[in-house]
Amino acid sequence: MSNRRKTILKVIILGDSGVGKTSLMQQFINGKFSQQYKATIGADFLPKDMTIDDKQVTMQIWDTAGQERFQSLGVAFYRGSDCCVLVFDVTNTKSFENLQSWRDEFLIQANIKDPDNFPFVVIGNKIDVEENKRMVSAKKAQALCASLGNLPYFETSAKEAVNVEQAFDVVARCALQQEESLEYSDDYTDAVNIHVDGDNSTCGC
Amino acid sequence: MESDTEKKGVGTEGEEGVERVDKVEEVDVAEKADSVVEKADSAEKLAGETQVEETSAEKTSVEKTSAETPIEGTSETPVRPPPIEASSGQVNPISKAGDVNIYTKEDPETKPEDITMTSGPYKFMPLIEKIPVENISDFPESRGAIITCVEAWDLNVYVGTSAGEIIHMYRIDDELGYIQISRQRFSNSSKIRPIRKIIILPEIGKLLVLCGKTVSGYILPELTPADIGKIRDVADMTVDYDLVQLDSKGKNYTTALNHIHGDVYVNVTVFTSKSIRLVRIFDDSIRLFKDVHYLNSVTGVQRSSYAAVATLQNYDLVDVSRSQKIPLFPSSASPPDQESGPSFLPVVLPVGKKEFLMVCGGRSMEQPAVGMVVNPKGDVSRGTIPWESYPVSLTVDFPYMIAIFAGGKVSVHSLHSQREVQRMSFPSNSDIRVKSVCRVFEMKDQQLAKALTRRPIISQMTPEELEKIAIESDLAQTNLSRSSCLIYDVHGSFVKVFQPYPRPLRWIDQYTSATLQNFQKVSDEWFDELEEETSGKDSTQGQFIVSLLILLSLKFYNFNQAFDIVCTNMKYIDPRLIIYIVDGSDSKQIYGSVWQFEGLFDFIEQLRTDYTSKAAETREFMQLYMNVCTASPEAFDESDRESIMKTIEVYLLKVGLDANEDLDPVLANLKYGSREAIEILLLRKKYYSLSRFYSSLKSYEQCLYYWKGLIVGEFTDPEYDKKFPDRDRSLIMMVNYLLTNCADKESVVKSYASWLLESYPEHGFKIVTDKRAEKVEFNDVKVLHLLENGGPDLKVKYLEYMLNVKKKKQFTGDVILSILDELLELLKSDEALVSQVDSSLTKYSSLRVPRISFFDFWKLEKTKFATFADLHDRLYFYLSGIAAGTMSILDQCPVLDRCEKEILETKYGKMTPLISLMIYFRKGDNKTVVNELCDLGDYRMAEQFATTLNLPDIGKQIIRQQREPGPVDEDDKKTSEALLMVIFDVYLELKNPELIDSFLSHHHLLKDDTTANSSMIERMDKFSDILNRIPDSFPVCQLQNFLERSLSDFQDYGDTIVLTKNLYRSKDLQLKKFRGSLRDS
Repeated sequence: MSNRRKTILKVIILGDSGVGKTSLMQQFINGKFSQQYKATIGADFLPKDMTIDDKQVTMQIWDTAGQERFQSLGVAFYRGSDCCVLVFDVTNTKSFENLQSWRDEFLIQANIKDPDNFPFVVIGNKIDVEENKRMVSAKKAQALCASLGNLPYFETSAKEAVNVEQAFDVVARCALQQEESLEYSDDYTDAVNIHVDGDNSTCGC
Repeated sequence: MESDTEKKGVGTEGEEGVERVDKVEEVDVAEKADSVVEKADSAEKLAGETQVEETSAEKTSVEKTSAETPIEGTSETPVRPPPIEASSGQVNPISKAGDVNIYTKEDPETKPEDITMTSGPYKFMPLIEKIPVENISDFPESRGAIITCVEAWDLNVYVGTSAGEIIHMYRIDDELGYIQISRQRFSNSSKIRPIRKIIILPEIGKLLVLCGKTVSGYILPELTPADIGKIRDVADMTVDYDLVQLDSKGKNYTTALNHIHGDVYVNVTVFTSKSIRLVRIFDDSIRLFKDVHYLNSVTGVQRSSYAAVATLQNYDLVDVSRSQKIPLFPSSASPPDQESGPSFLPVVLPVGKKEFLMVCGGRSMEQPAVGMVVNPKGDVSRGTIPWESYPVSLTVDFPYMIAIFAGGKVSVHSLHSQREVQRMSFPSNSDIRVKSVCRVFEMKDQQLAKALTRRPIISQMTPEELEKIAIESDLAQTNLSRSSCLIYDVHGSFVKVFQPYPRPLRWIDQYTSATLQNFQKVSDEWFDELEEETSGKDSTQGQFIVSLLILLSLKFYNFNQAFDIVCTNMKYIDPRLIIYIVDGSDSKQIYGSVWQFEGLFDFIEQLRTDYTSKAAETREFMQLYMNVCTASPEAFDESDRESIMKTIEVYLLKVGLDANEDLDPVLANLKYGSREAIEILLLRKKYYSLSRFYSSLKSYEQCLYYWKGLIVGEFTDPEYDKKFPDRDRSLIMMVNYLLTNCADKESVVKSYASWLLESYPEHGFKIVTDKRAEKVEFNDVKVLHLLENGGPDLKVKYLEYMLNVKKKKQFTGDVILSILDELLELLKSDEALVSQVDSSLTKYSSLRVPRISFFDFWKLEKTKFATFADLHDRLYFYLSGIAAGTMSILDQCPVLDRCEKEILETKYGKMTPLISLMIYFRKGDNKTVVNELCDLGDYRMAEQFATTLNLPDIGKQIIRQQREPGPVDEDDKKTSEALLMVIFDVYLELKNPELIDSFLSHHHLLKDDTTANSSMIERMDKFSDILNRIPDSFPVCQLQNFLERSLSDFQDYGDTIVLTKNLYRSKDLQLKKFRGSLRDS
């Protein structure tokens, strides 16, 4: 009988609006797909219990809003992430081109201590579309992933449940590895010490 | 006194940070020149406060209030029992207004038919039908006033208005309901400032009112001004929500009381444009405790050392004890308008026991907004709650969030799923607000009471139980539907209570509708609610949800979770209930009454049915759980402990029996159910385990009884047969067990010894001869008779034991006869042995004379027939120690007579020459001994015997006894010489010169050290006698040594005589000469 307290892995899904972040999460967690599109407001998360190499973990998957108007809240959601999933739509070149900016934004806002080694997984979604509608080739995506530090790359279809499990399995393993590499710290990583010398400047940072 | 900062209005983004922290010592801040906390000297001074110019932040607030868009949600929301969440569109079944014991008069202005609502966790119950907000006749400025805040405590409702009045409503009775008993004005006509917040502090009998930007104290309940001072420049105030708790009656939420040097106070945090101020409200004063510099705060919530604070632009978390700030996120998700910024006020509310809710909007009130739940680490801990527009009023009623929007729209979201679970619509012209107050309103609910009634699911029908059933039924009536959440019209046309669908009933619905897919989600929600349960697991609802959690885990066969739950809730989960479910086949073996909530009975019975054939699946879970219970019985209530532990023990035993497992671990730990275990073992014919169990209970006689039964076949048990395929091993262990544990119980030992001697003599022999039983006085004769059945060997051994260990010498004769019988039996039965013995004797006879002693020869030969030799030597040994008249006790006959008869008078006499010799010797017939030895040809031993009058010992293994020395007295000497002469005669007869010579050389028959003449003459006579014995034909040369020695002796004697004679003669002559000389002289 295991202890209920499992390792919690926080995974955040980023990408342009409409690339299928919510669909991927729903497919992975609930095995469901909805044709109806509804923009995510803020962020939603769903837990998923998994066993990785005999270790019980709970993956807490945060599905963020891709719309620009909610991006200023990013810092609130990014904090404490163990893995970041960057999603683009293979039929949307712009969403692919924005991957790097999503990555950079995440690294800045999440205040990652070791950006070079933080785990990212790239997912090219909507591969169920007809080939002639596909705008980003696998080769091109792989090249980008290689240039960003050999990031794992998966092509998925949330609609047809293609490769979703496999992608999130790698995500979970990356997150677990990251979680185990972090030393436990009781202090806030981004806390600001309050200024005490009476000076009117805002803070010491 | 206004500060400069106030006039600057809210700071720009660059000024948002906290500037400074000064920990201020406990002083009366009235003495501080620049303190914002002052003593209020009089009502006039209070009135003077209204002259303070509003800051832009305040303006915003007030303007919005005037514009009917204040954020009432910025006021506090005490932690409270959560109401209900609709489960997938469940219809709220509670609709009986008659159950409500609060004011129930129909609302005249907003009729129920004007309100539409979807099914969900809430319905409304009217509280106050009309509040006279305007007071035009006395206070013309109150025209158009609206309600800006509401607070309730006990039977009082305090209503603050935008005109700066507080209307005090009081509940008279069910008929009259609430009536206005006073209204107090906090503003003068020149400058009207709204009542923005009321904090009730019943612990110190005070009420804090934030009017405009000034906080003043008043006395509960009638609002007499309290002379404790004022705090100015206040944007918001809050109590520490980590200290909020229900009062002893469960009627009101209060905060904790502290004291310093006997002066009691409560902590309140106020947010000003310059700092976060931690103040202490005493009975007679307000004292500043600590200032944490933080610019432009407009609202905040305090939880222990954390303050969640908002400026117009941002939300931050401030650790006031460590002076640290964690920037969180902006209050608007969209880029702010450069000129005006967001047009709404930020909202901070406490969520549950450890989280904060903050609302993040767009550019305007009309744009979508999200609720963000943040934990004290600053992490977003739940998914965001999306709203279509920014709420005008908001409160948290865990696990729900109730938001009010413009146009009379109400939206209820679940904090668990972040989904909207209910919508309500008031008439579009309504201007409503929601508010959580200190007062807990209670509503009767028969369905809830029934569900929470404890009844015995397993009944014993005892008078005590019946009495308790009645008590529990009464107690269940105290389980009421509770709510602190009010909705009111700002114009005072109604105040209603959000009556929640009782949580236990919602949980029951969730349990019923849970599926394998969502059961984990439901569990997590319940864990969350359990954690947030105000009164913890000790409360009825806490225990109810714990029970439901375990039932849910069992329903979906999640034994990992079930195990975690039972282990962390030992006190609240009756293991008998779990056994009742998983072991549904046999509820008779559940002891005592098992009480459970009536609302769970059907679930439990259904689970019992489901688990009918699931025993194997529950095995590991139950084994571990039962082991945990067994290891910590103290976890259970003392009154039930024995029944619980007994049930567990019996269950474990039954499981072990069913699985045909080793029962030792279970039986070894049995403490409470011994009697029941014995019954079960007997019923299942597990005699072996029963025997062992008795052993563990130290009931040794019972243990032996069943053990014996298993050995003799009176009882049969395959387990025993498996453990002891060899009966001897069982007997050995049993004897050892008996001797180890019952040696001091004489009757027990005797009883088992008697049985064993009769049935298994070898093992009986072990008992009667064991040192541990030495104190037991056995009947030796009886033992010996019983041992006869076990063969002569055992009898002999026992006799020897008595003789050698117990020193009972009277049994020597019986030992001898027993050995004799055994020896003879051996010889009679073993022809080969007889042949071997004969062969050995022949071999000895054929040895050349002089030959080695037969005794020595025996030592060499006896290895050929060990058993015979052993008996032979023992017989010889024991014979050597008896007297001529020794009797056998058992046979009542002289031992030597019997021996003579059995040995000497039979052919065995020749076969056992040494025994024969010993018999003759013990009979005193030394001459025969010598003759026998001579016949045997053992002349050396014959001579030795003749010399010593004793036979040597044989056999190393026999304990040597002190033997008598050789002849010492004259009689013995004569006997010895006579015997020697007999031998000599034999030698002479044999005409063996060597023997004769040796004999004459060794025995010195003529040797005499004395010089007495008589002796010499005797020697000469002997010499003459010896010579006469020697035949004339005997060659003289072979007597040469004897003759030379003897004659030489005689010659020496003669010489000595001559010499002595001459010496005396010489002496005589000398004396004569001397005498002559004397005479001459």
